[in-house]
Amino acid sequence: MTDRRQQVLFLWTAEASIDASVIAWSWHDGTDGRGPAAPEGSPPYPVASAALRDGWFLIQAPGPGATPTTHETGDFRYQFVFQRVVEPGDQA
Amino acid sequence: MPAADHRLTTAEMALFVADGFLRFDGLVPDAINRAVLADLPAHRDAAYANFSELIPRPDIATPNTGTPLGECYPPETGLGRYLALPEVQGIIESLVGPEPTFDHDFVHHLAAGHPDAQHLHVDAIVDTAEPMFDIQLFYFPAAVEPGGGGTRFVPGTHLRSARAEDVGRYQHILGEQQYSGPAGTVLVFHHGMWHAGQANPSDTERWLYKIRLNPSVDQATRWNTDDWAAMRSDADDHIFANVRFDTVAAILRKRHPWQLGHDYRYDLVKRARLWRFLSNDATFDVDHYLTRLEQRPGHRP
Repeated sequence: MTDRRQQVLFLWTAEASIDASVIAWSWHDGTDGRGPAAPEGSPPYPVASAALRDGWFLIQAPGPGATPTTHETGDFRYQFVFQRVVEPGDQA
Repeated sequence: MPAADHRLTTAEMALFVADGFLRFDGLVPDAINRAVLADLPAHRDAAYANFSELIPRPDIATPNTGTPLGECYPPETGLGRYLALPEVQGIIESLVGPEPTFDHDFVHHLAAGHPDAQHLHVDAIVDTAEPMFDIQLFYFPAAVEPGGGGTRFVPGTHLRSARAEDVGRYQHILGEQQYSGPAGTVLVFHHGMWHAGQANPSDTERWLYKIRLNPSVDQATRWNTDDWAAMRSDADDHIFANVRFDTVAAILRKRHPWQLGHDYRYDLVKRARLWRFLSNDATFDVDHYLTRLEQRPGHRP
């Protein structure tokens, strides 16, 4: 049985579209560094859809959501979550 | 550079509204920095005992919440000398008025190589529609070198109504800054700034003295307003029509790297409302957003 682990990449975009610019990001590595490294760059991809073309699988996209209270702002609304499943030691 | 009377200029106040912070490098003289560094270990022990271990330390004098700032620390102590500096008093008076009250203070001390880091957070409570605000002075009495893990913060986030730890999910945001600078530097934060203490990968210990102040008077027009009339623009100063570049509105239009979408316009509305509050100018606007709604026949305030 293989020892598969998840690597998860959160990307927040400026607009609801997946091809909008990335403004924030987080990376969580289930291999504790024994798998492929995090994508380089700040941000790791200029637009969220670029992660798809680099082999990431989309597991969550922002839904329509509730319209904010008039003129209100808060934390970032457009969160895309990607994963790749790897085996520790796979540095490809 | 503050005005001759040490209060902030109109441009500095506008920058505070746009950025949520002001930075003054090397503001505190070295003699006071050294005195503060000698005092801080005892204050650190008191703060950690109170907060982390729930053990009161009556042997170490700590001001009560609500104490007028001028009565918090004896004038001969390092912290008393720091807080009484005319330059520091001018900044404080401009933002929260004279004689603000002590909310709390805290000493953040990280030994060399300390690995712990905070998630990004907001110091509660900020989810209010009221424009009044507290300030937090982050004072670094010793130098923090680049890469030394100084406070991380995200300029322009201070007016967003985020719950304290909702923003902890962001490891990185475009435009974030991580503090480094010379001894005696003071960062003045609006209380809503998203920020986080960071690990200390350097081989030097890191000291930060933070104090939160509550206004005790109306905060409007407390800065040096000598240049306010010249920098004021009418509501027709509009980036989609005719625009001026020498006004408060021009400073408030500052776009931070994370403000790439149209939500930026809602950020401008919040800045305009804060400037209305600070200037007592109910018709002030940035790019017509509020005026467009308010001038419609039948508008009910």
